[in-house]
Order: sequence, then structure tokens, then C-alpha cells
Amino acid sequence: MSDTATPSVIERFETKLCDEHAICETRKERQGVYSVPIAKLVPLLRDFISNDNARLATITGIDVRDGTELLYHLCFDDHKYVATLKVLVPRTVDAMESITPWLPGAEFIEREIHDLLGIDFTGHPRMERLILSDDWPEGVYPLRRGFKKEDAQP
Amino acid sequence: MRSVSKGVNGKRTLIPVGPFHPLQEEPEFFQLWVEGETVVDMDLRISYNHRGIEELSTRKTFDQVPYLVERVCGICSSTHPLAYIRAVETICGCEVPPRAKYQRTMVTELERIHSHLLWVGLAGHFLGYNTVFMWAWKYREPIMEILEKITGNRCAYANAKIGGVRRDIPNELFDDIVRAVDSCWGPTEMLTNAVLDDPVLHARLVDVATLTHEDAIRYCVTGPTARASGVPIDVRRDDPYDAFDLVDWDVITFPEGDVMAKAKVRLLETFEAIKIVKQAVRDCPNGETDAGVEEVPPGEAIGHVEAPRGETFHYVRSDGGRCPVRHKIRAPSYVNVPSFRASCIGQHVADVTIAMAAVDPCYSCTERMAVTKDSKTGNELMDAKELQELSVQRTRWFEKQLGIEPFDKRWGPKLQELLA
Amino acid sequence: MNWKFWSLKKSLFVYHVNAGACNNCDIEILELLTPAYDVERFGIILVGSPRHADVLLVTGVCTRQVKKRLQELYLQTAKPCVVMCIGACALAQGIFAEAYHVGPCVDEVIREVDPNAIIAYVPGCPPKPEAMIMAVVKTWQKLDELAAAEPKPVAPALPEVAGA
Repeated sequence: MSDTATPSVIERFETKLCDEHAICETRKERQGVYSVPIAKLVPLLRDFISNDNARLATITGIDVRDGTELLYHLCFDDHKYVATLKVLVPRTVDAMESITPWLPGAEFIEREIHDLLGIDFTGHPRMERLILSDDWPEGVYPLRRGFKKEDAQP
Repeated sequence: MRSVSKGVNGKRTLIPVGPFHPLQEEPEFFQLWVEGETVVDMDLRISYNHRGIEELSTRKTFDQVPYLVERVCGICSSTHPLAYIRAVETICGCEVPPRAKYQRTMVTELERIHSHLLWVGLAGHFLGYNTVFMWAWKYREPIMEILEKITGNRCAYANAKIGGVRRDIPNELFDDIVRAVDSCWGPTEMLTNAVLDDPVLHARLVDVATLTHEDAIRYCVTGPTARASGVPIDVRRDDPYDAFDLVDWDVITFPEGDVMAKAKVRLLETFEAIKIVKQAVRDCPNGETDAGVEEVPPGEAIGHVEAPRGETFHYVRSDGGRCPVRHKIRAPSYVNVPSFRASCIGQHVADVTIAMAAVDPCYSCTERMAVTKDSKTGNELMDAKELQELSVQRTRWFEKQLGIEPFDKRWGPKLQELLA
Repeated sequence: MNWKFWSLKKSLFVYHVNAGACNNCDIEILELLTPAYDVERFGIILVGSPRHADVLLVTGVCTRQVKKRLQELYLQTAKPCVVMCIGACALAQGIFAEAYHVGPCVDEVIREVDPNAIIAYVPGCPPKPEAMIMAVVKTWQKLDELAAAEPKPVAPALPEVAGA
């Protein structure tokens, strides 16, 4: 049982990513973070999940200065590698194409980000409140910067 | 697959399950739409357990976060800190001393044994097989005791820290660990045989709530739920951490995807966990247990480990300060629970109990029934008369299946006689 | 001796409410009911409906979403009903005190609907099963005191039976 990621396969992923103008930000022994142009993300995800046996672990949303970063964590279980595809959703847009229609496993993950960070996933079948309480005020997002507990009083 | 009687006029009944329901551990609110006895749609509302740990975590220092995240889930309380610690250790690039690696492995695997036995017990409870419940919980008690002995607490162990373990397990206690897991082997074997042999359990579990291989991949499920559907993923093998690549063990998979397969995966994994603990105790070297990490440099990394329920996934971003800038937690149930939609729809209401329990966010039977209007369409779902009609229809169906005469024919004359 | 409290003491029917706990307290409660600790021998049994309950075992921080449901559950129980707050979270919100999705403390939530509620506290994270048994014993003692404090009900006089 080898302890490191399969190098040749990782190279292939990286070529695929570089063809789509992705930039490698960090590269560790068994994981890497790649910044991807927003328009290329969904086709890339689709390609990796259907052709390379990748599994979507989860999506992380981070509120940064210019908008929201979405990190799609893909596990390549056969190759001992976890790739993170990063896109920046500008504050002016606050919307992203949903992947739930072809990957039902993403449903709850996208609804959670919608609740906590206010990103709208277009094309999502049930973009309803999932993890915040019924009396939580509309338009208050607890994971955005500058959130205060007092803002969320019912 | 069994045939199922159709609802009256195709009307639907809404069965709310939860948010507080007997037997269940966590408050969750399920809505089952049923036609006759078949579940045709379901929805889930969570939030009852949402506390806001991700946000709270950014206000704790790197060393305090493990205490917080082990309280994400009490049954996975060694794996959540471990996933976080793996992420931070990747950012730091530090090497964990081998003794610490082996000791972490021991605690995680002891936890897996007690968690799987707990599940077997609860599954028995959901089926109305309380003997299994009592047995399984009795046999996991030695594991809880040994965990208390080596970590200081029955749950919430706080044994791992960034760069090593917080408290060394002294060599004198190793014999006790072996004795405890050995005392578990026999009963688990007996339980496994009891489950595999029991015709009633076969009737209740085989071909019930099957999650197909394709659905398992589409729903991105992890852990025993995936492995019971023939998806051979296990973080312990696919991204080895601690001592898992240094000991000998097998990944248990079954292709069927039904509840029985999930039970088999968990029971057989208990044996693997016992093997791992014994090897870890045997091979554990002497030496340091702490790499002495002082500062966390800026950077970002993911850390994932195999919890008893599946892959626990953490993402940590640091800006070089005292606290994480972002800490994302994804518990295994978060991806396993939505697979209900694939496995429960089309099942009998009575089977949904165990189907929900099968992925191990414990859930139980459907006790309360409401006759309501669908809030979206305004259609009345079903009234009392129709429900009664339906139950008569159902009884007739059973009588036909079992080849017995209808009740009226058998008892009608006698009843008349008695009443006269 | 007040019959209300006297009868409450006899066999405690407990109903378990997870108000946003991490499962630690919950598995310890189940541990109590299984052979290792087996409190059923004292007549304590888990019931499936709050309407049957003498004791409400509350674990967890009481999240915002749970608050109203917890009050509803308390109102559904037969009175007098003892509320047992189990674990650090139910006592004083523990580690989650500053989190954004946490409501008021469990005892405040209960007192909002019934200012005279009998509330017992079991500290620990999670409390050991022995501690929970101890809490039950103390609750029994408290119920004895309450029963002694209340005036003794006068038994109704039996009607005279003619010709006896």
C-alpha cells in the first residue's frame, strides 16, 4: 500500500485544470487548492465526478473582502488525493449555478450555504430554509463578516 | 420487492415524524407523504440541533477548538477533533511522533467498537427486538470503562492535540485495553450470528430500503452506508492517517445496499476494529507523544478521517493569528441523511423506521398521523373515513396473502350468536 | 403527606428531550436504562409520549428552533412534572453560550411558561450515569419535602351504609 498520491494521475488532473485556466495555489503531499474561473467550474466538476470517479465531499463558503469564496472539495479516493476547486462569487452577483440537478448529494450542502452566507444557487429544486430557525430574520447571514448576534433577534 | 396496496383515489396522507419522537436521539422533523402504506415523498427539516459551531470556532484559539468540536457529536467525539487536528497539522507541516499516532488509533478504534455496538442495539430497539438492544449495550460497557480509564472520560475524550496527544496512555494500561476488547469479541460474534441466523430479522431487513450503487455515488454517501452499497471507500485506507497504514485490516464491503448489508458491514467492522486495537497495542513504540507545535502559520488545508458513521471532513484556514479564520465542519450524516430520498421512497411506512436508522442518525417509527391539508396545493390529503376504508382494504390484502378466510366469514356467525 | 407527590415518587416515567445536545448525555441516559446500570429496577422507565411523563429529561443547549417546542412539550406533561436539566449545556449552555443559534437557558424557557416548575440540575459533560442516579435520589428527597410541606388532604367521610 503506497503512502503517497499517484503522481501520474495527479499530473493528469492538473493538466486538465490548467487547460481551463486554473491556477494552483497550494500543493501539499496529498491535497491541493486550485483557483478556477467561475464559468469553468461546473463543467470541470461534472467531468471529474463522472469520468474520474471523484466524490464531492462538501462545499465550503467563506466570506472575503470582494465577495464569497466557494470551495468545492473533491476526493479522489482511488488516488489518495483531495483537490479543492476555489471560485470567487462577487458580492454584486451572490449567485452560483446549482449542481443539485445532476448531483442530488449537493442539495443539503447548497441549502446550508444559502442559509449561512446568502448565496443563491440558481436551478436548485428546493432553495428553502434548512438549518436556521423559523424565527430567524430574512437577510441576516451568520457566517458573513460583521455579523452580530444582536442583528438576529426575532 | 413486495407489492404494496395503492391509496384510495391516489390521495396522500401526511405523516409528520418528529421533531421530538420517542426512541430518537436527535430532534429532526420528517414529513412523509404516503399513499396507502407506500411512502411517495419525504422532506426533512433540521435546525433543531444547529448551534453555530463553525462561527463559534473562529472565536476560539487553535488549541481550544478541539474541545469545541468534540462536542459536535458525542458519539464521534474522537474523530471530529482528529479531522481538525489533521488539517492544522497539514498547515504546520509537522510530523506526529509514532507513539502518539498509535495511541490516537487506539482511541478512535475503541470509539468505533462502542459506536457500532450502540447502533446494533438501537437498530434492534427500532425493530422491537429489545433483547438485542439490551445485549449490545451491555457488551459495549467494558469499552466505555476502558475509555474512561485511558482518557479520563466515558465520552468526550480530549486525547488528541495539535502535534500529538494530550496525555500519554501508560504502558501498564495496555493489558487492560486488550482484556476489554477481548471481552467484546465473543459477544459480538454471538450477536452477529444471532442477526445473520434470525429469520425474523431477515424478513425485516433483507431487500428493505435498498440504496443502489448508482444512488450511493449520486448522493455522495460515505462510511458504512456507502460500503454496504458496494462503494469501497474508507478514509483510513484511501488517505491513511495515524497508524492505519501500519496495521493490518480489511475494508468490509457488501454489494446489496439493503439494511441487512449495513448491519453486516457494521458488525464485521467491529471485529476489524478489535483487530486494529490489538495490533496498535502490540506495536506501540516508546518515546515522545508531542511534537510541540507552538504557532500555526498562514495557510489552508483540509483534514478528513473515518468516523464510525463515515467521513468527517474539516477545512481550516489560518491567517497566522491565534484563531482560525474559517473552520468548516461536515459531519458524515450530513451527506448520508439525504440519501433517504433514494432509499425510502417506495417503501412501506413500517420499514421506514429501520431504513432511517440504517444510516445511523437514529430515527424511529411512525406513531402519530395527522389528516391535514397540503399547505402548497390546498388539497385535502385524506379523511378519517377513507383511512378506515384503507385499513379494511389492507386487512383483506393480508388475508388473501396469508390464505386465511376473511374475518366476517370466520367470526361473523359466532359473533351474531354471542350478541343475540 | 400529599397524594400528588406521594404518587409521583412511586414509578418515575421519564421522557427524553434532546434540545440540541451533542448526543453525549443522550447515550449516557440510554446507558442508564440498559443492563449496566438498569434503573428500571427502581421503576424508572422511558416512555414515548410527554403525556405519560413524570420527568422531562432535557439535554442540550435549547436552540432557537427548539425553544417553542420545548415549552409545548412541558405544557403537555401531567403536572406535577419534574424537569431534569442534564449536562453542562442544559444547565448554563456550557461551551455554546456565545453561539448565535442558541436560545435562553433551559430553566428560563421552562419558567417562562410555569414559574413554579420543579427543576433539577445534573452537572457534567456528560454527567456520569452514577451522577444521574444521584440526581434522581435527590429529586425523591425533594419531593418528600414538598409533600410534607403541603397540607394533608382530608379523606372524604364514607357514607353511612343503611343496616350495617
